[in-house]
Amino acid sequence: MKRYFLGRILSNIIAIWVIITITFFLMKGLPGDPFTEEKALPPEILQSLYEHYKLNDPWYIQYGNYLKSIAKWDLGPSFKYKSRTVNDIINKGFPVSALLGLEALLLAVTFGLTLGTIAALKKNKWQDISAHLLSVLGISVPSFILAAFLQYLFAIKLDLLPVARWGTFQQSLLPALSLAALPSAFITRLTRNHLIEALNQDYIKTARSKGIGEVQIIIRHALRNSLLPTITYVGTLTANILTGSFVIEKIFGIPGLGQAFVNSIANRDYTVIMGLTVFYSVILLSLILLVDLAYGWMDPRIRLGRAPS
Amino acid sequence: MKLTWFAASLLILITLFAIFGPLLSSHSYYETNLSLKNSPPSQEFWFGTDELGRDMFTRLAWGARISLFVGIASGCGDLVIGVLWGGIAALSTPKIDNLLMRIADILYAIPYLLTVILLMVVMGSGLFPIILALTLTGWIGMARIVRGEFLQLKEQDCILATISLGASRSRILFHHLIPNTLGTIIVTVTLTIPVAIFSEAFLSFLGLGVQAPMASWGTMANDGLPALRYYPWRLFFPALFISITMLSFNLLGEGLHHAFDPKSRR
Amino acid sequence: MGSKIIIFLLLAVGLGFFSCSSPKERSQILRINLSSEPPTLDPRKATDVTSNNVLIMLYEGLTRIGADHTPKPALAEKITLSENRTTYTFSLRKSLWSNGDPVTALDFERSWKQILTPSFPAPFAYKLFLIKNGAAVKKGTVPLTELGIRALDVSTLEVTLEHPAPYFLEMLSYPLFFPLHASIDEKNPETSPSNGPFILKQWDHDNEIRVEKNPLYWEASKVTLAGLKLLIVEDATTELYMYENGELDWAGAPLSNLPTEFLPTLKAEGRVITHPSNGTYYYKINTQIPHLHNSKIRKALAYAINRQEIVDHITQADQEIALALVPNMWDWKSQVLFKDDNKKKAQALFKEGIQELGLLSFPKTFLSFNANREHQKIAQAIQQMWKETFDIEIELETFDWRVYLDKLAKENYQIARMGWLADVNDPISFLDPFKYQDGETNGTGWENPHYISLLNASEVEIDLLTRKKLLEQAEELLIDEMPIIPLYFINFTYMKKPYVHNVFLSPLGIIDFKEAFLK
Repeated sequence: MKRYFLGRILSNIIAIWVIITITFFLMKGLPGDPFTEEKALPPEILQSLYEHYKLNDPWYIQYGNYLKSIAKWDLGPSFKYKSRTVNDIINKGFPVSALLGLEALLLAVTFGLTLGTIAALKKNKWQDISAHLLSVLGISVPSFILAAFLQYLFAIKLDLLPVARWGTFQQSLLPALSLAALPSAFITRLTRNHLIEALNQDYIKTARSKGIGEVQIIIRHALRNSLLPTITYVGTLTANILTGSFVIEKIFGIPGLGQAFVNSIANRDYTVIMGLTVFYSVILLSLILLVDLAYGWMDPRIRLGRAPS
Repeated sequence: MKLTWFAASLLILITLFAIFGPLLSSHSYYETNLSLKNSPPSQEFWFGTDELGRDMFTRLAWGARISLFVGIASGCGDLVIGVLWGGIAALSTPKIDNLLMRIADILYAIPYLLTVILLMVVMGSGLFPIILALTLTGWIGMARIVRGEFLQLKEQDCILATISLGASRSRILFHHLIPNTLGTIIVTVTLTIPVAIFSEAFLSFLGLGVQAPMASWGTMANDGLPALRYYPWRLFFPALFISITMLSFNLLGEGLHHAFDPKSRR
Repeated sequence: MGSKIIIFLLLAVGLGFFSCSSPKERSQILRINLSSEPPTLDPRKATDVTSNNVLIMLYEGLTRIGADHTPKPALAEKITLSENRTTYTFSLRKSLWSNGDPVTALDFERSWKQILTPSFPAPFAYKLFLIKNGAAVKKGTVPLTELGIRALDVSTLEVTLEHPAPYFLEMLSYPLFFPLHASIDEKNPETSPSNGPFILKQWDHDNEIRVEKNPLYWEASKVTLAGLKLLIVEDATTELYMYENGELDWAGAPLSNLPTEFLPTLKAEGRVITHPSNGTYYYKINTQIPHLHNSKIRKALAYAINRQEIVDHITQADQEIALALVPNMWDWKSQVLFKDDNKKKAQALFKEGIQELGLLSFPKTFLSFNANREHQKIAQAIQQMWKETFDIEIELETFDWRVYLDKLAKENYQIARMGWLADVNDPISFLDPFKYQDGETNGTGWENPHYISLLNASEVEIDLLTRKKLLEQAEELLIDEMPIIPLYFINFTYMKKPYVHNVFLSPLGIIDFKEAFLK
């Protein structure tokens, strides 16, 4: 187990190195540079800017320097925001995006598991059908439309919640709801379908015949096994949701990483693009590792590191 | 079962709309008529007009072609690559399995926006780059789910027995694993198509969508966002079409899931 | 002990008094939306409208733009100009930095010299090329000591220009020309003392900036606001909602745009204010493309457009249509050099042009713009107008902003949209870019010897009226050759709460809250 874990960490480090390399060259391939302005700059000024930001160095020097500084988790200064470093931008934006993401995730998981379990237990009864309708609605409306609609309805028409911005719980409600709609619908459906399947499995029937209580059967046996796909889903979703959603952050004026990333691409803010990509990858790969560990824990049949051939 | 038929017929209706809708209308999707801008739905313009006075009905019909095409094409792309990749990984030796999944992880961990923008820049904006970009970033989820399911199934008695009888890998894949996981795969595909249609809308939002004057439902919904307050039909109809399509794909997927999966029919 | 209690009681009474009176008195905190995070608060490096608008709150230069859009002496108490109109001498008034140090002529000289130091990363350094030897110093061919700027003593500054420039005093009001405190922290310039009406209180990145009144400002008596709350909310619709909900006192230009979908209703309610700007929205043509090389074709394309319709139905902010390049400015009346929506003449010219080019049919032509709803709407309308008038095929091309700029810079386009906001209140700011074919901002591949000589003559002309005539002739020539198709003059459209008074908005997009108050 320990060996497996160390091996995975090592392979993640290699993966991050590959990602850094790919991104570095992808980024260099993007047309336009951070200093192109509507009123083009004279060449001598452009040169002095390139020189100052060390963009005149050959690529291997730039690449080498970047690897060196990233090893120290120094992601460099932003080209666009002159007095900020990429580390500053992450330290500022990530907590915001992550908090909003967690709120949304909590909403989605609570809602999805509850609704999914109810639907599975009351299969084809009205509870199942209404859960179904709710989840289908969640899947059917794109988040930007939902966000704009919720904003208009609750902040303008009903004047119940703030229009936008970040800081109070009330302000976080609408964005968290908009962000949670899609995943909670997914989780409801995954839970329902897999729970129904699990309840029909032989071992559940055995358990039932042994006279184990229904609640215990559902929680200890059926739900546990039907959680697997949900965990896969939530695991990969978490990275996306924690690192911020551009659309939601833009509509609700939230100072998160989602906006920072899209803006950095638009600005060709090289160091920020690189830094945020690396940061995102680290989070994502760690979560995937966690999901795999959770898999092993939830389902002893899958033996980590010794997958049967 | 009724719901499945309902969903299937809705999808057929939408497809018919995409094929014949443009012919039904006497307006063209690109011809502007500025003095008629933002007219509410009427006899002449069933779904109102947009900000340049173009008939929303006609534009939605053209948009249907584009959105459906983008969704289905990238959904199919995901399916093929994802099932192959996940299947091969699950059936190979642990080493290869590990390698394949690590590659998938790495590709997954590159933010797709970066990939997409670069693709669009190299290939120019258009339908094909959008589909390619969505497929390149979308198949990995499918691969992971397929692999997870396969690994679980592989441990089941009947398949262990087939393996010990010396059945070939492709036979195991196509005769045992795929049929047994078809439900999950179909559910995942039905959920990928809406995601693809949404992603396309998001790209339009960034100016990387289909080229004007052509429009997809996503671009139309995006254009309609600021109109929510005063010209709500400009957001309502694209949103309605997106939602109905999503709903149909979901219900259909569910129905097929029941039909294919003997376990859940009980 | 007893005296402490008395003081405490007095304080309590005092506070009670203030809190009683506060419902009547409006809090003097003004709330606006910056829309985007300012990239820098270093006057030497700022290039964008957001940074400049915050800097104008924090700093004071030699001049400041007044309510009538003309430069007024600010830190300069007395300005003398030499006979040949190239040497300015500024006597500075006594004023203080926010930490109590005196502001000296050296604080100007030091900062300007840094900007022109070859290795210093100041993108807009070229705006100082007007100063004698500026360009050569930046290139490194002439030493800094040869630069035409000198602090004669702590309160006298002498600046020599390359050529007479009536707009120089106006330029001095821009952040680039502000003085800087000697102790400036190069990494975090926002932490150093400033000398403007307000001082930076808090900078919560990507979210909110707070500034408050600077008690040491030389004209603090004119500052009524206790401070400003500058929000950073990107989405224009969200901004408008916040304004409607009373969370903002100002919405729209120059820091963001009112969404056009809201304009008709807001205008009908009489709540929208429009303000002239020194900007023109135009299409530029790559004259090196064979079928666009003929000026008759270019003119035909320009004449076929119905600008009034575009302004009435698309931009919808009562913009004036542009039948020349240069908009109205304080001593310049925009010319009318052709007729709007002249389809007949356009068709005739088009036919001639096609014949002159020896073409059988007009090739498919690409119209490019950067990804943005408004540009896209205008392009679609014009695509249709050209299609209707000439029956030609126009294909639209949308690009990401940086890719777009890259394409323009490489002249890899056929027809492209451009919105040009002037640097200075002077026609030269519009005409100069098209002077040389290889100028960085030209990009049309067009050059005309007569045009060059007209602009050269205007540069050395001392008589302002003759200069104006020369510039008018140059503009006529440009529009007769039509390397660019003017569409409309950009204006600033905004809303402000009725209790906001005395805000100065300059046609260059600088909004000054120095004398603003809420009542």
